Amino acid sequence: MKNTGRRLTRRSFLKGVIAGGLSLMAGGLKFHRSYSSSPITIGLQVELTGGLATYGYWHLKSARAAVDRINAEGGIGGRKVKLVHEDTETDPTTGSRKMRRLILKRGADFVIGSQHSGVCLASLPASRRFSVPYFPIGEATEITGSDGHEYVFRLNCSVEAHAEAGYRWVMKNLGPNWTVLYADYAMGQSAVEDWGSRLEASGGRIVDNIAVPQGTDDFGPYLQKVDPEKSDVLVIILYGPDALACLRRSEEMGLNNELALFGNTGSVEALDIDFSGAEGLWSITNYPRCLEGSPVELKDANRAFREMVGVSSDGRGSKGRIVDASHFWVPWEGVNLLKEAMESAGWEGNGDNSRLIEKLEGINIHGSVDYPQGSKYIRAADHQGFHSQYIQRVEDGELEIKTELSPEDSEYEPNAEL
Amino acid sequence: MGQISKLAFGLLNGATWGTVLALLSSGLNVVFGLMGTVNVAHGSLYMVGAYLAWICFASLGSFWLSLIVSPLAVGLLGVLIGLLLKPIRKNPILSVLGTFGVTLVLQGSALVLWGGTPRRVPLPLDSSFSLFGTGYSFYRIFVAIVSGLVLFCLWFLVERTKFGLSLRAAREDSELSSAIGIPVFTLFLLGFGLGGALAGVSGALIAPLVSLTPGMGLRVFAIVFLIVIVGGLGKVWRSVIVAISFAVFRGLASVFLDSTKGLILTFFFALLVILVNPNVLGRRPANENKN
Repeated sequence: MKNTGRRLTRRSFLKGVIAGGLSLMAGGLKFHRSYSSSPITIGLQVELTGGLATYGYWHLKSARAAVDRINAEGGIGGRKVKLVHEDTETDPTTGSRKMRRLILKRGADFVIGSQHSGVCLASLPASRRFSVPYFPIGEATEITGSDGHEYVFRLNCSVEAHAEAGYRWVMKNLGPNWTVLYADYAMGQSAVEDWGSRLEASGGRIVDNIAVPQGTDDFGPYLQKVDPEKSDVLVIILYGPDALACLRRSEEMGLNNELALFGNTGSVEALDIDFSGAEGLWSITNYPRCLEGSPVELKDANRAFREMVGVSSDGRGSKGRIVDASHFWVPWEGVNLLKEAMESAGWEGNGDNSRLIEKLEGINIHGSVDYPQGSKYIRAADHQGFHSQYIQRVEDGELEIKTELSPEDSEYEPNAEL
Repeated sequence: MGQISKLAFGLLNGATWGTVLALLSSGLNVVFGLMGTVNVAHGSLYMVGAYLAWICFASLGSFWLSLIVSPLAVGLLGVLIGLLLKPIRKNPILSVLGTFGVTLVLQGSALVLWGGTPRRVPLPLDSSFSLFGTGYSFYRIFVAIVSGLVLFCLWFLVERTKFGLSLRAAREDSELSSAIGIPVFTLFLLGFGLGGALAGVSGALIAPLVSLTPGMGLRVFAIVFLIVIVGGLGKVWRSVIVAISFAVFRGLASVFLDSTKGLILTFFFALLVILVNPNVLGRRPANENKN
């Protein structure tokens, strides 16, 4: 049989090794060059349809405005930023699937969002598995607590931070006996535990905890359980349409005149509160809806930020859409925080994520156009952010800021040690 | 509020809420039970009816106008959906998929047109009365009365008129009906229009009592579908009884148990009804099939 193959000699072997080595080096150089000039991809996990669609509308605008501004100023470390987004449909199953899609199909180096705590909790494993830094907006305490991990950072306050900052104020100013009406899912259950345990430890009393399924139209049967003779305050832990339906039915049943109403951050989010049922409602918020409520030193920064996102000074956008004031700043600040930390860590690719994480842990942020919500810090132990919060009240159809609570007021014992 | 008062409140509140559910489910029943098509878009038609009420209030200054505008406009929309379904109307699976597609289109359009911000229509009747020490709006009673009247008219139309007879005949045997000169496809379109009008008037009536969002139709559809299944296909009056029982049962279960247990118990009860009486799903008893 004729041997058609070439004989392997020492010379041909050495030639092959040298040629291979040179081509690998050239390839490596080429790869390195394209790697450092390719765009950085930021994924946004956002609710464009479903119950939180009104939040998602603003989150997309906020993230786009931040990315456009950074690109106009030269990008991050000289590299352009590309924003890709996926709609979670306000559903945890879909949301976690979209998280994987953002990472695996859309090439996201980082993911910001979602607002829905259930989606965030369902997305945490993908962030860990693919080692992709994740900046959830959902407020369930577990996200940076029992379920948190090294790649998760939350810039905005958790439910527990709201409870820590708010419970003393509510006890002192509205009364120590509470009935809590809450949305029966991750965020609501988290809030009941966090607010209730603090109240009772301080000598207050939970008269009743009333769970309400999401998407409830008829609040009559639930509000019927509220006993105004035993309760000083009705604490409403609901969001959007549920909060609106609850306030209206509460007014119809005459409860508004018999006890004080206090709502969580979601209770007035993106709602038109110019109706009698909302009048007098107290609530806690991360950020004032109207520019007038912003701290004096941050007024100009906020004016500029609102202009870039398309929010008027009274908290409205085009077609009269009302902004989700308590949260719409998070994607904006998240993108800016990434820029700051990446440039400081000399981030070039996913291999530099550990350096990026070190920069983010314990970072102190100062109020500016980049961070219009105000100064804040991210605790190293659990990657939870702490910032100022505000107590506001509906008066003559407007949200009036009554008190500012400092970042330190909201700090609680970490639930994780990362 | 004492236990007896809670019980009485729950019964009345459930009954008033149940009449609207009955009206809405009767619209689905007309299309589903009498026309043989599962109109998954029925909930979205209800949503459109509710948004039309909001537009009448916000733009024209009169909520009451919507009680005429909503059923007419949504009825017309129902006819259009019927026309769209013409090529696939005899295939139940394709009909479900087709109407589900319509649902997505309507829901998406509402989101684009009116945004995700929950909308509200103020109660058109300001006054209320004390029901066991709790305020109760007269408008809820008005809704129950109007729903009852519309349901009576529907019963009369289906059971006591030539149109109703033709509808039922076309459902029983469309080929034979065609052979004797009944315009089956026209009836199909009118059936869709009637179902749409009922969804429209339900949406308009309920608009001042709920928060309006693009997703409100899909949410209510699951309940309405269950009511139609338990009540029996084509059995309008049984659906009315089931709707009111459902609302009362769910309301009372929410008061005396926690909400999740109440919901589980309500759906378990519905499942039990279906298991005990499988004929409600449209199956005839075995001995009847043999004949």
